[in-house]
Amino acid sequence: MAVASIGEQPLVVIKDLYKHFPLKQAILDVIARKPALSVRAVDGVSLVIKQGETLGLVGESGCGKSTLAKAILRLEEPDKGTVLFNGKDITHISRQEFRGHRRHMQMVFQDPYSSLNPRLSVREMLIEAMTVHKVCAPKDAEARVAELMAMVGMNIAAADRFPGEFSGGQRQRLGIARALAVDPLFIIADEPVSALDVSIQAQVINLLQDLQENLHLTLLFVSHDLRVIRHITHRVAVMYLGKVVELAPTQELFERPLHPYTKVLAAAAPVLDPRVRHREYAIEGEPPSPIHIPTGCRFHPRCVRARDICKASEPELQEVAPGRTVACHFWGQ
Amino acid sequence: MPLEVVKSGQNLLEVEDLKTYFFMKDATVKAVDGVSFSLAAGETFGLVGESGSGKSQTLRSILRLIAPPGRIISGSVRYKGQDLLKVPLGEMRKYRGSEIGMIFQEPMTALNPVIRIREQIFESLENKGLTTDQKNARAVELLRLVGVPSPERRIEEYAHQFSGGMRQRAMIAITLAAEPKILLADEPTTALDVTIQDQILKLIVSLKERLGMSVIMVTHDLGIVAQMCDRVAVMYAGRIVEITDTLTLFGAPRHPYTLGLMGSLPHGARGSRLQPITGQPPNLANLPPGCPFAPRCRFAESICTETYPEMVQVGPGHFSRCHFIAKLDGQSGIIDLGNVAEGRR
Repeated sequence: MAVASIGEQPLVVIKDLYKHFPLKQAILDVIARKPALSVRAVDGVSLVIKQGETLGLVGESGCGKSTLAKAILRLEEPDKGTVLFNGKDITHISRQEFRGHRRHMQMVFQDPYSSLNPRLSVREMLIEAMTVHKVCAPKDAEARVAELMAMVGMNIAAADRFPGEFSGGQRQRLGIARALAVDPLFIIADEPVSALDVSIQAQVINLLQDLQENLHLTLLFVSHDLRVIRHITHRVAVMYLGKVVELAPTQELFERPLHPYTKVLAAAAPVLDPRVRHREYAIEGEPPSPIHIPTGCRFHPRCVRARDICKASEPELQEVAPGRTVACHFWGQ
Repeated sequence: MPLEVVKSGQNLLEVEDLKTYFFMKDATVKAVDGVSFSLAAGETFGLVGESGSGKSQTLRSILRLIAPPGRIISGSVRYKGQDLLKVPLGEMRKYRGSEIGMIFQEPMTALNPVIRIREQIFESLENKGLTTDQKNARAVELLRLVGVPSPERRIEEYAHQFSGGMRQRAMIAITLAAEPKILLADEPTTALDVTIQDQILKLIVSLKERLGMSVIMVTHDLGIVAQMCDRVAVMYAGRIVEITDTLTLFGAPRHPYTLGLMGSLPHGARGSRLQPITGQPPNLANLPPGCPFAPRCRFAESICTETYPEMVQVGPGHFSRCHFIAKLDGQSGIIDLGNVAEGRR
């Protein structure tokens, strides 16, 4: 896709979004008035997704990337913050009103088996999606089903079969077809190829790329796989413990990562060249729990660059070059 | 002896014509259908393939960890002059753990949830004539060796108190306690995050060197193959289709399936289009005659759907099962053998 076709116009604007999950407290702790603990899954995220782009969201398990994706679509109600879609606030409107916008925003899940209704045939599933959102007249539904199946590279004969009869890659195609059924502007794909074998994964990646170009979709692509992210996205946001720590155009991010955590992620991915082997660990230890997030910069206990200021004050995301933001006190060093 | 078993006096393990079938109610699934390879002392050998290719069942067959309806039909697994498939099943205990250890993808199902990590390490230390104090000291030392912080305290804990990465470390410690000569690793990092995977893989490399082990690594991830393995076998539909050293695999693969895998891999920058293998993997219960890859192969001709190709040698230690090796001349993989891609990650 030519870069020129990506509008600078924002489609989705996320402002200071929070989603915490309170933990159950023992009765004695409640009586003793101990402070309630919570998992701070999304802890103040601001992000702009531009019309027509594929934005990658990358991070390790527990960093909050999936929760952020769900909070945008209100599959998890955000605690605080705003999401603007096409300039309209969609977080502070009634559920009923939100449903009107929902057809423009669809989601593709990692495990297509658990996200497809096993009792509906493919045809029924697609027609149901179209009916709920009233996207086409009943008499046109049949033609639309055929069109959708062709779009995702499936034979129309498969429309009368049930999800259980398909392989993982085919199910993911069906998950994509269902998302497309309502003619959305924006699709969130949460680890859409992580469960697939590499040969099938490549087919689905190509399909997503083609659809995005042909239908001018805007895509938020959530993944832990840097190779896939590098291949499919225009820009990448890196998350660590509930916050975005770096945002940059994909090529620049991989060629010159600025945040120490981004460097760690890049160094940890196994290089596809047996001549390039390193002995030292990319990083020691494991991420702290999102219940007890470190003070100051949340990465400081594991950071080789950390100094006193990193323990005391949390760095804000700052623009350090056109289109590049990073949350680090010492990004330049 | 099949071609692909490298002849050398140094072989620690030789697997020959191994067949492991699963007898289901209405079909026989030939999960492993004539697999041969050898493992040299000190070597890390990779078995790579997609789900259902038979790589894990091959690994399990070495220790005869195949439960009904599965059964090892034929073949041999020679270790120290002994065919493990001919050893009475009761005597396999002598080999499992102490000679050949195994680590699994999901440590939680491999660890015992109701006994402490300490007791599980102790089990591996049996028959070594150690006192309880010595066992304790050794167990702590092992946990420290695999990078479990504060091992004196954690040794008293149960598996559920460990994180995913720590469980994998504990399982490695338990396996290493028995000082095996060969470590069988079945997708040991697939369930882990990339930074933890990096730690576990590098841990295996350093332990292997320190303890002089050989490793067989089963994985679906070609990145792990590139980083870990000396030689590698690519499996498809229950058989090895290509076997060679790792560098040649990435630089000059000589089987259409391996080429297809390379084309499917996202590597490098955006823009380049992936060249996936078309179609779906075959149903093992109902394999067509001929080469099982033929329906997806861009080089296939009519003979491919009729006769199964024999293994042919295409270079030193390099073998491929394809009727049309000649067509693959000049095809390259994803690395340029004349040019090291500096720091490509």
